[in-house]
Amino acid sequence: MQDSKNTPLDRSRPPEPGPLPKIAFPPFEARRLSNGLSVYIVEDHEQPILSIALYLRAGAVLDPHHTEGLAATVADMLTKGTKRRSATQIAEEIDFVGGSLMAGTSWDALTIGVNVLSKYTKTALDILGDVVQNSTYPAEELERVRLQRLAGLRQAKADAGFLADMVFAKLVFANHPYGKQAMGTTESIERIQQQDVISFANDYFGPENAFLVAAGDVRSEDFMRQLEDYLGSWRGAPRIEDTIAPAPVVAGRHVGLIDKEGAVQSAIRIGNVGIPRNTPDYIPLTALNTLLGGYFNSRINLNLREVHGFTYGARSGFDARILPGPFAVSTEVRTEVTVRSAEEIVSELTRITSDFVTEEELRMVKNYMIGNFPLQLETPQQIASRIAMIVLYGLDRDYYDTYRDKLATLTVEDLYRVSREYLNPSDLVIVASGNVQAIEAGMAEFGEIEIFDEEGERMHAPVTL
Amino acid sequence: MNPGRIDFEEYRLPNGLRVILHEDHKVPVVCVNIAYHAGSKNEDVKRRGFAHLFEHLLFEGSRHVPRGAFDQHIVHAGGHDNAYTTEDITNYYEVLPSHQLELALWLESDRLLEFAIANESLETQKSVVKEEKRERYDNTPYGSVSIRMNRMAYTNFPYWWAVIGDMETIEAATLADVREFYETFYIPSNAVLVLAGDFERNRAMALIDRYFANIPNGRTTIERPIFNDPPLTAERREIIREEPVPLPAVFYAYRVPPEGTDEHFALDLLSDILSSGESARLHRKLVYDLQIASETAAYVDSRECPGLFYSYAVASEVDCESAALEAAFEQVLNEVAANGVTEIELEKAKNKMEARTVATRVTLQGKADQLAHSALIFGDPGVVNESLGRYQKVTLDDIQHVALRYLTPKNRCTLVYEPNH
Repeated sequence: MQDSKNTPLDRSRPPEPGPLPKIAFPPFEARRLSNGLSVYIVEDHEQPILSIALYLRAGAVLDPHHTEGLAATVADMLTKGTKRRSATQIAEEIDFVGGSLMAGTSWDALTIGVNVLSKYTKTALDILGDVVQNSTYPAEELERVRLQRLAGLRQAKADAGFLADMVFAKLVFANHPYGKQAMGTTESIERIQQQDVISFANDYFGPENAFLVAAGDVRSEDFMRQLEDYLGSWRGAPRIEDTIAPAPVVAGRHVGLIDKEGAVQSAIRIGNVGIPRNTPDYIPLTALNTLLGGYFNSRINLNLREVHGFTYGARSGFDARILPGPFAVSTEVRTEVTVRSAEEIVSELTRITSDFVTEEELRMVKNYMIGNFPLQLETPQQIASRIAMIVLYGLDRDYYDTYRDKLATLTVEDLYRVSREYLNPSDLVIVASGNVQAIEAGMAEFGEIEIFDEEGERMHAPVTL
Repeated sequence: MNPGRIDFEEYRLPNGLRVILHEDHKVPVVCVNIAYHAGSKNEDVKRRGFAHLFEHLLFEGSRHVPRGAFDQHIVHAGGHDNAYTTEDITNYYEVLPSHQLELALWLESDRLLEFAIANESLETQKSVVKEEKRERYDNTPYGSVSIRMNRMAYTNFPYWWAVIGDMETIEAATLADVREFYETFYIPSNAVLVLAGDFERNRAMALIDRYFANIPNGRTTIERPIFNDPPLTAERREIIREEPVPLPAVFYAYRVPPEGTDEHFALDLLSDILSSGESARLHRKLVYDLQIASETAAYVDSRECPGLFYSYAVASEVDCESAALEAAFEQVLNEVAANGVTEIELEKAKNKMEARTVATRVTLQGKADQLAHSALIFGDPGVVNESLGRYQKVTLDDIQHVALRYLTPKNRCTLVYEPNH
């Protein structure tokens, strides 16, 4: 370390860093309840708060055909009445202690979370245990939830980015579940019956098909005892094996445009099928993506924002799920530069798959990701969500212990290999939602155009220009 | 017992820079936060949006750090940086692994030391900011609310425009304006520097001294706008049909006292009683019982000078009559003024506030931000440790009093959005 006091200040060069601090992934306890439920506990007593999350392997990927949005509706309904409490009582009790109770779905899991001041741990567990075991899914509450979801969908469709995401998923994944809408469609939400909700819960809810993570101001022994009281007698569905096949990668170029009334910007999405979360190439691909569009200094953001001033921001990312999820570059740009922005994005994808990245770029990304690691372990909730990733996606138990070493050994050849394997600029779905009239002619340079309405339905046969 | 308490130490450098240290060795991470007492209310009326444009520009290079290098240095070090601008302040921060502390101090001190922003940077950032405005305000449903409300709620005081400004005044900004703003507001005595996290006190103080102590304070005195807008005396109201919105919606904004006042704490709790959680009054009545709304909210937009109490309801169906929505909405607010709230509701709001206060103080950045904010707005970072006590003191009478006094139609600006089909 430099001696700051005795050397004269030279502002012309950045100061040398001190030695890299050691950091280990924080210790956590893995336990099991008598009914088989796996429990992970991160103790942190700095602030008197606690967050608990129960993950059920019952994500939107399991929505039945034509019943998109069912898992999401089940999540909404979970907190809307039990054998012991009405929806109103549940809300009153958790609100009274200043806590929050929320249930939601991703593609891979349905999660029920409770955050409370730790002095109210018992209240939190009492309510969590009740909604997990005794929910009654009342029919009149379903009507309320239905109205809410329809309003939510109407709001979402007013957003150009949402429309672009919807059509992008549809073109990339076609009839695969990932091509559907996890939040449901107007039609599917109107179709969902109370019995659908009950069947879904019966099929997938049970301790073998779930795990729980608690993080914050708890003592693990006490917590396990309390958990046994409130969740120990929970029984339910056995683990159901996944039988859904991955979607094939889209070949060739496909262009989708959505007409967005009154738009002054276009939301652009460009990409294809990406990777599953447990791929051994995840770390090199994350490094590659960071360099390409994963952070502020990425090639795509610097190109579109800093060089051209086309956008407030542009990014790329792999949405890695149990099955291969999408890879997409996304940005919002003003209407007049839509085509030029898409050209720049395609050209960045071409460049990264045809040339090695520079040693300097890779060094920057490695420094960033290695240095950034401790920043992601600052709060107990951050640690808990990483443990949940390990469990949900079946990663190695030492995944985060070896993470920085694996990053450090990456080479430009490694990045080149994965870029060739996973990104092919001649196979791309290119979607823009905005003022179609203004961009249609220009977008035709990328391939055959299909036009979609705000419901995500094809409006007419491809135009010929 | 003081949950969420933030321990700190405070001193001033001879050039006027206020320094606050919060040492915490839990993880090897440090947050450097520097806030300037300059926001959109310090702008010239012809340069609306300038403080925020300036925030973008401050990442564009300084004496020893060429354009583009600021972010590169931080990112290269494994950190991240960002900034935000409000009506009252502009706040910059870096969060990075603790062995890189000196790097952040070098970067922040360099851009306080000397102006070095080029015209090319100005032109690029004008474009970026204009895209930001399009993305967040022009191309987003109900995105015009804050812009329209400010214009209605203030007549003369520089809160009448939004922080984002407008396209023409952003476009008109010149390099001379940039320099003048910099020389006026970006001086040590108008700033507060907070270090939070894993550092050793004596070394940190030596480094701060090394990088900041020899930066001269400016020669200008800062003129601060004085609030003399007359009270609102009759409802101001607009119906908007020309913007694409998915559902009818009603937005209210009431003019309320500045943050830190007793009435502000009461209003903040009242906003929770109205809207926080599914058992809150607005949700219970409009969403659950009547099913006329899909979304409701209430919150205080806290400001250094009199701010706004916002409340809104979005309809649940597109063919809902906005008048019916508004009638139900107004009834909930009137009920509070007429009959007050219950003991249980007040206790619930206090519990929520305790949980929220603690939750925002889990990260170093959250703590640093609150210390800097209190130091600039109240002249005392220690105010962060008094707020929970102030909330606890609020009584049922206080709640009814602020509802009666402020949540009245004559003190209100109303926006009604109707879908145009």
